[in-house]
Amino acid sequence: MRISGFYGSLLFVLCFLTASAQKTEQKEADKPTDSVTIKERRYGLRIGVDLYRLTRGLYDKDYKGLELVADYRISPSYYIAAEIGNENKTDDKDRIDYTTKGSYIKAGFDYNTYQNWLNMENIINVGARYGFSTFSQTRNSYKIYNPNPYFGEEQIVPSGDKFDGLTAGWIELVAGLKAEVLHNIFVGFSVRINYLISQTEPQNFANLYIPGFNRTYEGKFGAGFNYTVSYFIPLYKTKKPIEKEGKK
Amino acid sequence: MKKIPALIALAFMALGSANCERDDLCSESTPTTPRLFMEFHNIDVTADLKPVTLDMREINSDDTLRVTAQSKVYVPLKTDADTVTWIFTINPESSDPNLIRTDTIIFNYTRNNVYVSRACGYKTVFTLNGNGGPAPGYQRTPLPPLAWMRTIIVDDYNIEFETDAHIRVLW
Repeated sequence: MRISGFYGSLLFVLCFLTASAQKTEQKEADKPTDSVTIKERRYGLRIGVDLYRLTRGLYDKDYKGLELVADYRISPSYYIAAEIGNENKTDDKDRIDYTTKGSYIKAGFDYNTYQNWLNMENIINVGARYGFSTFSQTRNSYKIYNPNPYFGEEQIVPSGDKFDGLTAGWIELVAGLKAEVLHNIFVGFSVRINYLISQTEPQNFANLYIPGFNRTYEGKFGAGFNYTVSYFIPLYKTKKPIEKEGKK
Repeated sequence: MKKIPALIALAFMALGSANCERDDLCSESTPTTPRLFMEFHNIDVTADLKPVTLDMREINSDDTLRVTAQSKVYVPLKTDADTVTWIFTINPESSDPNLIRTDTIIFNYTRNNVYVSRACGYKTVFTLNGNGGPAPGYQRTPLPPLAWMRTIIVDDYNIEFETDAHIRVLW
C-alpha cells in the first residue's frame, strides 16, 4: 500500500542520483588532469512542494493537503529546514468515521552526509524536526463494539460532534535524498519517524490523525514521508581549490 | 561516514514494516460492551452457587440461548434502547411440565457510549435505574411465590465490566 509507494519513489530518486553522478564522471575524463580544480559551494534558499500531498487529492476523495518545504544552507553540510502544511482528511474505513482538518509547521535541520563530485549539490541527508499542529476533529459517526451480538446488526451511531482547538507537538527523525535533475531544480524524497511529545485530546475520543504527524498508533510513534520538487535560489558562493581535500 | 545513510535507511525500513502491522483488530482482552452478569445462588444457603439450566429469549426475538447447568448467566442488553425484556424458562427440557416455569424480567437502564480505541471504536456501558431513584431497575412477572426466581438482589447498578456479578438470583 503506502509503503510500496515509499520504496518506488526511493528507487526513482536513487536513479536520478546515479544518472547525474555518471554524467559528472564523463565530464571529469574530458578534462586535462593537471588543471587546478576549484570546488565551488553555493549557498542559498531552496523552496519546494510535496508532490505526494499535492497530488493525493486527485485520486483520494477523502484527502486534501498541501506541504511547502524549504531549506537554507548555513555551512558546507548543514541546512536549516522547515515544512509548513495543511491537511483535511476523512477516514471512514475503521470503526470510527472522522474528519481531521488543520495546519502544521515543522522546523529543524538537515545534515548532508554525501560527498559530492566537484560542484555537484546532491544531498543524502539525515536530520531532525520539531513539529507542531493545530487542528480540529469531527466525529462523523461511530460503531458500538459488541463482542456478544444478540440483537443483530452492528449499531452505527451518528454523531457530528466537532472538537476544536486541538494541538499536538512531536519530534521527527528524517532521512532523505535530493538530486539536482535540472539546473537548480531538485527532486527529493524523505522518510520520517515521528515521536509524539504532547497533545490535547478531545473528551471521550482520541486524535486518530494529526496533520503533519499522520495517523496515530496506540503508542507514541508515527511515520511519514514526502516527495518533493524544489527550486534552489542561489544567494552567494564560496570557492576553494581542492587538490588536497579530495585525498584526506 | 558513508555507512550512516545505509544504516538509517535500514532502521527506517524496519520501523516502516513494524508500523504496517495491523492495529485495527479489537483484542478480546479489551473490555467492550458488557452484558448483565446474573449469578444464581441457593435460596437456602445463599453463599452457595446453584447452577441452573434455562432457556433465555428476548421478548421480540426468535433466538433462544440455552444455558446448561451454569451458575453464571450473561444477559445482553440493548445498546439502542433503555429497556429490554428477557424471558427465562427453567428446566426447558423437563418431562414434568410442572418443572418448566417462566419468569419475565424487564431491565430498565440508562446508556453511555464510551470511547475505547481506534480498533474497537466505542462501547456502551449501562446504569440500571433505581439506585436511589424511584424507577426500578427491573420489573418481573410473575411475582413470588409463583416466580421460580425467589429473590433478586442488585449488587451493582453500574454495568461496565463482566468480572463481578451485577445481580444475584436466589432460587
